[in-house]
Order: sequence, then structure tokens, then C-alpha cells
Amino acid sequence: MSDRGDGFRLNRRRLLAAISTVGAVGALTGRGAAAYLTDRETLADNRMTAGAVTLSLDGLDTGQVDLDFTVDDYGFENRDEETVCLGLDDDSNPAWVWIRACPGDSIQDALDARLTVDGETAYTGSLGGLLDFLSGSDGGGVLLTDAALVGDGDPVTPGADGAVCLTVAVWAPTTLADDPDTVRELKAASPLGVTIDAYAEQSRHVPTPRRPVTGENPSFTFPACEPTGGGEGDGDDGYAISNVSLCTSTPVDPDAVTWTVRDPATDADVTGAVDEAFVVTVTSPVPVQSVVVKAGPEFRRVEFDDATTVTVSSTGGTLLDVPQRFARCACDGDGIKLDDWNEATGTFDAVVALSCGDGGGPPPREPTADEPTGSVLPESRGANGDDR
Amino acid sequence: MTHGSPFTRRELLAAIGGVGLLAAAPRVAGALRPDPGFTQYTYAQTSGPDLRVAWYERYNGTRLEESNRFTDGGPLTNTSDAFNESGDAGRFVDVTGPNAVTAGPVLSIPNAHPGDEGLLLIGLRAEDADARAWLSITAYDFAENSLTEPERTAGDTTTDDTATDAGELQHHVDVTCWYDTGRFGVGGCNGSRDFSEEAVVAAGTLAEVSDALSGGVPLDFGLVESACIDAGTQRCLALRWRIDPSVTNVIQSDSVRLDVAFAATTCDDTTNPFGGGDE
Repeated sequence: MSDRGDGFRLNRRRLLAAISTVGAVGALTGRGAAAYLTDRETLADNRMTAGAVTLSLDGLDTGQVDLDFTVDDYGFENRDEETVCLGLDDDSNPAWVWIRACPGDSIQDALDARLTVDGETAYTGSLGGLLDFLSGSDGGGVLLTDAALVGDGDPVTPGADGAVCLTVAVWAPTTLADDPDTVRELKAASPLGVTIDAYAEQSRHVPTPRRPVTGENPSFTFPACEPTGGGEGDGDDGYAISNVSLCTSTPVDPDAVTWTVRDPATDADVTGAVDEAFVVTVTSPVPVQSVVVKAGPEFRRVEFDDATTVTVSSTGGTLLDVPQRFARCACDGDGIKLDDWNEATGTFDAVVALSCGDGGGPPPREPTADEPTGSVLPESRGANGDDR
Repeated sequence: MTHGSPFTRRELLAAIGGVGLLAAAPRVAGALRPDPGFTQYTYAQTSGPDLRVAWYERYNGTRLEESNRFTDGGPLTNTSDAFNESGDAGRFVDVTGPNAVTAGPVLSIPNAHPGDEGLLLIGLRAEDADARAWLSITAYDFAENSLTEPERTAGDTTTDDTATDAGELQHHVDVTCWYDTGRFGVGGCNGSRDFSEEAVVAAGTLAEVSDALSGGVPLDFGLVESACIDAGTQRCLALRWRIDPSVTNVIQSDSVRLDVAFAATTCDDTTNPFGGGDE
């Protein structure tokens, strides 16, 4: 510390006093925190809102639609047409839309069907084949804008303009005129319900549509289709018996034939009426050589060696590759037919004598070329009662 | 005391105390929500900190916003050179106060999807004097905005938009906020987090980050052992957000609002200007 300056001299007391003053200034500043020198910049009112992807089915905010085809509405001449339009709500974002239908009752194979998408034919074949087509081989359905549905392969755009209208037309092929059994089944199965599930997924960040099946789409998979079963039952037991033909060497008196329904699990006689029969025991006054059982669309033949009491089931015997109308005369010669199982009464409606020998045996098989093939055609084939 | 004054001594003291309370009240409000009206003290302009900002915003890889448009400069890019040149050219701006540019919302995402990501890169410049920078991020106004059918299907049942935690979006936006300083001062302000950029201000969902930062935190850019930004220089803070692709329909149409506030104090001031914990 120097005292040789030009009059600027600090003694110890002054120095201490000066330090103290500085300290006091600092303390004052610290106390008045609000008086600190500050500046503030606020980037305010920033906002983020999540977008939406919402399906619209015929204007309803839902992901599923049911189409019903009633036997009263279709025929050889009449088509039963159901149209559903799928799109995205106006405030939705563009999305990939998938649709899926499940194969149903195999009786659907007996009907012809055509799918038109926005007026262009996308599929012609049987109704069963159409459902197989809409199910996709893996149950993942079809992209709504896929080329198979006459689409451009792009995501669906929101609003009514982007909606895609599907029209399913169902009618009876003329071959059913000779097949009363199948017609009866169609009547029993009416109305045929077709459920179309739809799923939409944002297309942003999803450059390639992801099939809604396990392994390809981590966000969603369509629920598995119910296994297809027989009749209107729950399908767990397979097809129920609809008629039984006993083939005999000599004519049979229908009134002399008795039958009982057995429980397939316990083999006991079923007491009371049941709406479906899976095992039937028939007692005939004359020996039986073979029995043909029709269950669902399937015919099975079981050989018997002149037995008079025979037990047949909906699944036993040898599966026959025959047309649906085969049951009209399943035996080569004489026989008897327990016909037309009636769910309401739990009985066969009729027991009728068969005598097919005079008629030249069983009718010839239907030429399969006329049967629905389920092919995907770019244009309507214009056959089978096309009403244009 | 003047003879005849209507005030007794006690009344006068009470009145002074009332002034104090009035002054304190805005501070409390400011602590809860950064108040854009609370700006710099004009008498401190010459020697106090003057913070200016610049920003660059990217959304799903596309630039949406940048601040050089206010000063007729070439577009700001996500490089330290661009931020440094803009800073040296005086293109950093005030967004609050009398000289503020009309910035409007910097982040405006009206149609966010799962899989979206965005970046807000903010340059902070200490103009004239060294400054210590503080950050506050506050998310608020969470809203469900009614339930879409897919939201209901996804199990979303919240419909009360008056609830403080309405909607779900704030829990599904992942936010990382880090010092975009680059390595040894190189490669900063690029919005891409180098492995050497370990220092994170906050990371988590938007709700978590808001909880952590709404009270304000000091920023420490960690250069030359000083938390301060030297006068006439700028530093970058990066804020990256993302909605994971696995996020489901529960966020559909939900919305949030967000304030990003910065305050500058003098370097020796360790009092949190946002009212939260001090340095």
C-alpha cells in the first residue's frame, strides 16, 4: 500500500470503511431481488394438437357393418343388392383402409354373387367365394383401394369424395331349380348375414400399407374368423344331419321304419326334441346294404352288411364327391329316405320310399363347369340372370 | 407528518404495506406462468442483460419456421455457422417487450400423428453484457376436445376438459432438451445430439418436462467453466419432441399448449427469476 500518490491516500480505517460500503451495496442489491437486472423472452402460445383417423361407414362412425341377404329378396331373376360406402370423416386424416369379411355357412357357395366397387365389377362368382376373396388368404382382408377392388392403391382421402362404395349383389343360379334340398337349406339359412369389418390406419409414416394380420401390423389385427360350421348352430360340432338314405335290396315300407337320435358324446338315446341331430340309429324291417348321410353340404356313405339296425353319424363313412341334388336318389335301387330334418320339431319331416332303379340310377352329376368358380374377373361375365 | 393530514402513522404504514403486497402479487403470478407482460426493466437497459433469441423449427424433416425472416436475412439453418453469423449480423430478436417482433407461436402443430417428430432450435444471445440464462417450459391447457370413436374404443373415458390433466397427449409427447454446444464448440446448433453432448436440461414426456422446468432452471452451457453467455456471443438450446409410433388412439384430437420462456440475469445473480429453485 503506497502513500506516495498525489494526495490519494488510503489509511486502514478508510479502506475498511470502503470495503464495508461495498458490502452494504451488495447486500442491498441482494435483498431487492425484484430489482435485479433481468430480461425475459417468452416464446408463448405454442400449441400441439393430435390429429385423428376416424372411419365412416355409411356416414356412421363405426368400424363394422352387417349386410343381410334374405331369400325373399333374391331368386333366379331377382338380385338382392346391398351397398355400403366406406370412407373417412371430414376431419380425419388420410388413411389406409382395410376391409374384411369372414367366410360363413358353406351354403353360401350355392349362391352367385357379384361385387362392384364404385360401379366397376371387382368380383364375380359364388357368394362363398366372394367372402373368401374379402377375407384374404390370411384373414387380413383386402385394402379398400387395392387394384383387386379396382382401386388406385393410394390411401383413402377424407370426406365423402374419398369414400368407396361396395355393392354386393346376390342371386340364385338357375341350376338350383333342380336342387330342392339346397333351396330348402337356403331358406333355412335366410337371412344370410355378411359382416364386413373395416380398419383404418394413418398413412403418414406408413408408406406401405400394413396388412392387419399378426406379424405384419403391430398396431392391429382383425380378430380371427369364427370357424365355419353347419346350419345355424354354433358350429362347434360340425354339420348336423339333414337327411339319411337307407339303401336296401328290396322295397321298404316307410311306416315300418323307426329311428332315434343319439347323443354323440354319450351314445345314449336323446330324450325330448333336439334341434340338431348328429348321430341317428335307424331300424329297418329289411336288411340295409348302405346308408348315405347328408350333413351340411357333405354326403357320406357308410356300408352295412345287411344289418337291420344301423347307426350313422354326421362325420362317419366315406365322403362322396357328388352334386347337391344327389340326395334325391342316393341309392342305386330300392331304399328309404328320412328326409328334411326339421329344427323346430326335432324330427325328420318325412320318411319316403326310394325306388331309383327305374329312373336309370342316380342322376348324372352336374357339369362342374356351370358351378361357380370364384374367379376374379375384371368385367361382369353377364351370365346367370344378369339384369342389365 | 403535516398537521391536519388525514393519515395517522399506522394508516400510512398499512398503506405502504399494501403497496408491497400489490407488488408481490404479480411476482407470484409470474412464477406460476411466465408472464409475457413482465419484461425488461428499461432503466437497466444500458448495463443490464439484454437477451435476444433466434430459432429454427423443423417438423418431420421439413423446416417450418426460422427467425431471420423478421430481419430480412437469409433463412437460418441448423448450423452453428448460421447462428453465429446471424448473431453477429444483429439478426437475433426480442420476442417480448417494446421492441419485440410479432413472432406468433413458434411451435404450431395442428395435426400431430404417432411417428411425428420435430425440433425447435433456439439461439440465445447475450447482447451488450454477459448474461446468465434461465429456462422455463410450461405446458398447460391440456384438453381432450371430445372423444372420437377410436378413442372410446381404445378405452379413453376422460371427457372433463376442466381437469388439470385432461387428455393424454402431454403424456405421449417425448421431449429432450439439451445444450446443443457441439464438441469443443464445433458442430453445435445442429439439432442433432452428438454423443459428447451429454448435458441434458430435461428429458421425458412433455408433462414430466413441464413439471421439472416450469419453475425455471439455470442454463449452464459449460463453456470455459462459466455458466454465463459472454456479451456478444450466442449459444444454442435444442428441444426435440417425438410421438412414438406405438402411441395409440387415446391421443386423437387431444391438445396441449406450451410456453418456452427465457430469462437473463446478470452473471452474479443466482436468484431464479421464474420463482423456482435458485442456482
